[in-house]
Parts: sequence; structure tokens; C-alpha cells
Amino acid sequence: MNIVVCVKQVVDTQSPIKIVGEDSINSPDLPRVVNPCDLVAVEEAIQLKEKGGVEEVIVVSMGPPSAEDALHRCLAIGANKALLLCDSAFDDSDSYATAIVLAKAISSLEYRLILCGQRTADTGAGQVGYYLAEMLDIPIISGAVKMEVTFDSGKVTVHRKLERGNREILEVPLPALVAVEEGLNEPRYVSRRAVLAAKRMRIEQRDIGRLGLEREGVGLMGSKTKVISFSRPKPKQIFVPDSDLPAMKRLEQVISGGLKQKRSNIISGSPQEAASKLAESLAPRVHST
Amino acid sequence: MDEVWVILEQRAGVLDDVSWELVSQGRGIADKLNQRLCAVAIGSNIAAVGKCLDHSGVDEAYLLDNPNLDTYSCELHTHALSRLIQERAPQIVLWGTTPNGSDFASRVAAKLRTGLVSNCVAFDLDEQGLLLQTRPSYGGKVYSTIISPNTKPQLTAVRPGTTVIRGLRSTKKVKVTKMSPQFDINKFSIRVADFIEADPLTVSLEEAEVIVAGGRGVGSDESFGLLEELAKALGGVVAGSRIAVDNRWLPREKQVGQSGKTVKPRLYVACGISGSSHHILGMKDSETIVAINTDPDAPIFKVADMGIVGDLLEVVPALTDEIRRREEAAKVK
Repeated sequence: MNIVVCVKQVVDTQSPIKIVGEDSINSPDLPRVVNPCDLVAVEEAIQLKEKGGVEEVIVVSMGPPSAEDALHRCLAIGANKALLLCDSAFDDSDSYATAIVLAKAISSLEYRLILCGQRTADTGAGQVGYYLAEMLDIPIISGAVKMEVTFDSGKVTVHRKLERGNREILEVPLPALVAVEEGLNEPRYVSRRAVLAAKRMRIEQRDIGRLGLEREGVGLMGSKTKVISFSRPKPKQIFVPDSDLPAMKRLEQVISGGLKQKRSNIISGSPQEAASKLAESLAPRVHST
Repeated sequence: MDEVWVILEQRAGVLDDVSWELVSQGRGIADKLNQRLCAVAIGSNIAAVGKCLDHSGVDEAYLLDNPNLDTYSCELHTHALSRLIQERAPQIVLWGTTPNGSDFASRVAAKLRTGLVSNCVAFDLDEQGLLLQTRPSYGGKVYSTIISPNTKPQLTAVRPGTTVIRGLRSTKKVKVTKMSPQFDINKFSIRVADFIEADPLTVSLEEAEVIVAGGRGVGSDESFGLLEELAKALGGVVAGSRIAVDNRWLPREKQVGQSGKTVKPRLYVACGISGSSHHILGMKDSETIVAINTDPDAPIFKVADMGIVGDLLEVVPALTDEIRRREEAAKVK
């Protein structure tokens, strides 16, 4: 059986991101990486292959020609094949239009399991997996922080991340799609030699014609959502220590990150009384009627 | 229909905070559009939800009641809500971007083959009454404003903790419509095998919403048990200052501060921690900070929102009891 992994090349969010005009960012100038969550998905697929029972790991990406770098990276980790869905008609696709392209390509592949990252670092929507599963008519489980696949009985068991460290264990028969969280595994270190070897591996490319898609169904025209503008969040206030204070105090303030003193409310009374008053103010913000 | 819907989250008939945020946010949008606000609750035996929505500004509550819907079950919930949306065709549907809320919203969007904008921090309307949805992207470095043109309903999810909950909004009682969706369980493939409740001692500090931290003042390994009890009552985890870790009261990964972890929980309870600048650096961005210390001049009180001057060995157990008592009282009601 084969595993298909969906990956996206994203701009490195650690780099300086600027807004250009009103509705775009300076992405051509920025360094690009494999979306961190997707790398975890690739690692998981390779680990499953190493355990046996998996014939091939196929990585699929929709993106510009430069996304070949991301796919080479996945090949260096140990993926067998890479497929790049590349056409200028795909530009500006949202999650929905992206899923249409991926679904079309994946439906021609043999697979039992599809893995993808829980969300992308750039837009952070985390929706492609859901649309893709719906279009391929297979079940999806998201938020995987631990997973186990039993190929004989054709089943995958997933620990899904909930609030406050709680977990839910879900089971689903294959074929299925699992969206993984960072933390499911630690993507391996790849040697320079493996990277160079992977560079020589061929990446299959498919354009809109090869996939048999219509222009109206992809890109901006096929999208359900549209980004109309970018803006900056309110800038963080930079702390400047009070120059009237002695040097030691100023240093202390800088070390602690420039605290603003809060007007703390000291609750008095016996331990029981104080505890009761504190519990009162901590009580969940209940709607008062 | 001209309705704005909010999808409530509840446990045993008690609404989560995020639900009230949704009601406030939904009311604001519905007012601007001059539409009705309807709240959808999904669960088992949830009649109580209808009652607590009286005077909240919600015009109508749809209660989807079925024993199989007791806890969030992705496929069943999606099936039930998608059907209702198709039947009643609301204009806008809002969820909270919680782990279950975002899963739920994404599944409904996929099932209805429509757009969804999640993790929104602000809303506005354009001239045509289309929802302008603003959410952080690129690791929070920029905000993008997104529209969902040509798709009805517009599905959107709000980031929890970004909406101010407004109090009494209406003198009107809510109209309650009960429904009991039916399904053939065999048609669904995902099985919920188990639920693992977080153990306050093992949950990572990054995931915790509530942290109960102890320092030198705790004094011993055994006294950390008191903090553990409080953490359990508050649904949080135990952490400590460097002293606590150096004394081996806690493992290294539970250390908060400059040489440990930087945390940002909803609630941080500092017990017997004086508040050196190294510790404060690691927890100052917590939403609410509570300090319990015997020394009224301890620097921790300067960053605390609330403080109790007293012996933590007395205050902490009293606080645990008090929280447990309130919880019991809420359940009985």
C-alpha cells in the first residue's frame, strides 16, 4: 500500500514580512521552507514505511516551480516519488480551490492513507485536508499527536489534541486522511549527501491540461474566499526604562521585560474568607441575567 | 432566512465561556444587518441551555437533542448541523476556534462545499453587507481581511478570548425550538474509542490554560500535593520556580522563568513565589495572575492582578475546597 503526503512550500514566517500595496506581501523576496506541520507528516509516513507494510510514499504539492525545492527536501528524507501540480492558473487559490487540484491529482494514485499538516504557517487556515477528504469521499481525522496504523485490519487509531492537554482516541477504517500536529514526531536530520542525491531525482509535473481541470474551477475563480487586504497588528510597545531610576533598578526592569506594575487587588481576611473572595472573582465569566 | 447563527459549546448543559463570546459577537453582527440572532446547541438533555439564554440577546435557540450527541462526535454533529443549515439557510454561521469548534466548522464547510474563515479577531461589514473577516496570518505578523463572496451561508470562526462579553442585552425571553435529529449510526466510519483526561502532572506547560506554580514557600515535596489538588480543581497543571526544581520537588520541564519556560496561560497562580525578575520574565504575559505569599512586600504582588497575603498551606486548601464547592453548586442548579 502507498501513503500520499500533501505538502506546501511556505515563506519562512521568521523572516521580515512586509505588506506591499494593500493586498499582497513581499513573498518573492522571502526564504521558503516546507511547511513545518507537513514535514512532520512526511516524517510520519517515512517512519511507517520503515516499519514495513508500506510500498511507496508519494509527496504531492501544488505550487510555483520553486516548490520543487520543498519536494526535493521530502525526497531527501526518504519519500519515493514527488508530484508537483504547477500552473499559473492555480495562482491565488484558496483552501477550496487548492483541494480541487489536489483531489484531482490524488484520485489517479493508488493509496490507503493520506497525511497532511494540521495547518500551514502562512495563511494558517487548516482547511485543505477537510475539503480534500470530502472530495475524495474518505473520512478525515484532524489534530493527530499520536497515531498507529494497522495495515492488516486496515485501520488507523489517532490521539486527537483537545484543550488543556486532554486527548480523544479515534479509530477509522482505511482509506482515510489524517491531519497531523507538530509534536507527533521530530523530523529527522537530513545529511548533505542525501540532499544532493535527492536533487538529482526527477519531480513529475502536472499542469492544468494534464490534470484535466477547467480554468473556472481553480485559482481565484474557483475559490470560495478572497483576501481583500493586509494590515499590521498593533505594534508592541517597546519598553524604555525610567531614566530617573538607579542603574540597578533599570537593569532589573529590562531583564524582566519591562513590566508595567499592575494595580493588584490584595484580598484580606482569614484564609477561608480570602479563598472565598478569590474564588468569586475567578468564577467563569457567567452571563448575568 | 435572515438569521445569524452561533454554534454554542456546552458541557452537561452548562455553556462554555466561548459560547458567551459568540453570543456577544453574533448579536453585534445581527444588529448591524438587522437580522435575528439564533443560537444552536447540540447535545443530550440540554433543555437547561435554552433557559440560560433568556435575556441574552438571542432571539431563538435551536436545541438539537439526541443521546448520541452527548459529547462532540465529529461526523454526527456535522451531519445534524449541515442538514439544519440546508433547511433554514442562515446568512452567517459563527463558531469558536476551539479544537472541537474548528474541527466542526471545517467539516461543515467541506460538507456544504462552501468557504470558511477561522480564527477571526475582528469583524466588519462592507457596503453590500458582506462580512469582512480579519484574522492573523504569517505567524501573527500580519492581519488579513477576507471575504466569502458568492457563498451562502458565510461560515466563520472566532478566536476565543478576543471578544468582550456584554451583559444583559434584551428583556426578551428566548424562543426555544427543540429538535431531535435521527441518524443511522452504521453509516458513519469514525469511532470515538476513548477520552484521555489530562493529568495535571504530565500536561506540557505550553498547552495548559491554568498553571498553579510553587516556589520556595511551598517548602516540601509533600506540600506540592496541595498545589496539585488546586490544579486539578481548576483544570490546570502544576509548575514551579527554579528553587522548586533545584530542590527536586518538580521535574526540570516544569520550570517557569528565564532558565525555564515562558508561559502565557489564562490564569497563573503563584504560591510561595517571591517573584524574582527571572521568574517574572517567564509568566508576566499570563492573562490573570494571582499571588499567594506571606510577605506583603514580595515583588510578585506588583505583577499580580489579585493577591492574598497569607500562608499558602492554609490558603491553597481553602481555595481548592471553595472551587470544588462552587462547582458542585453549579451542577445541582
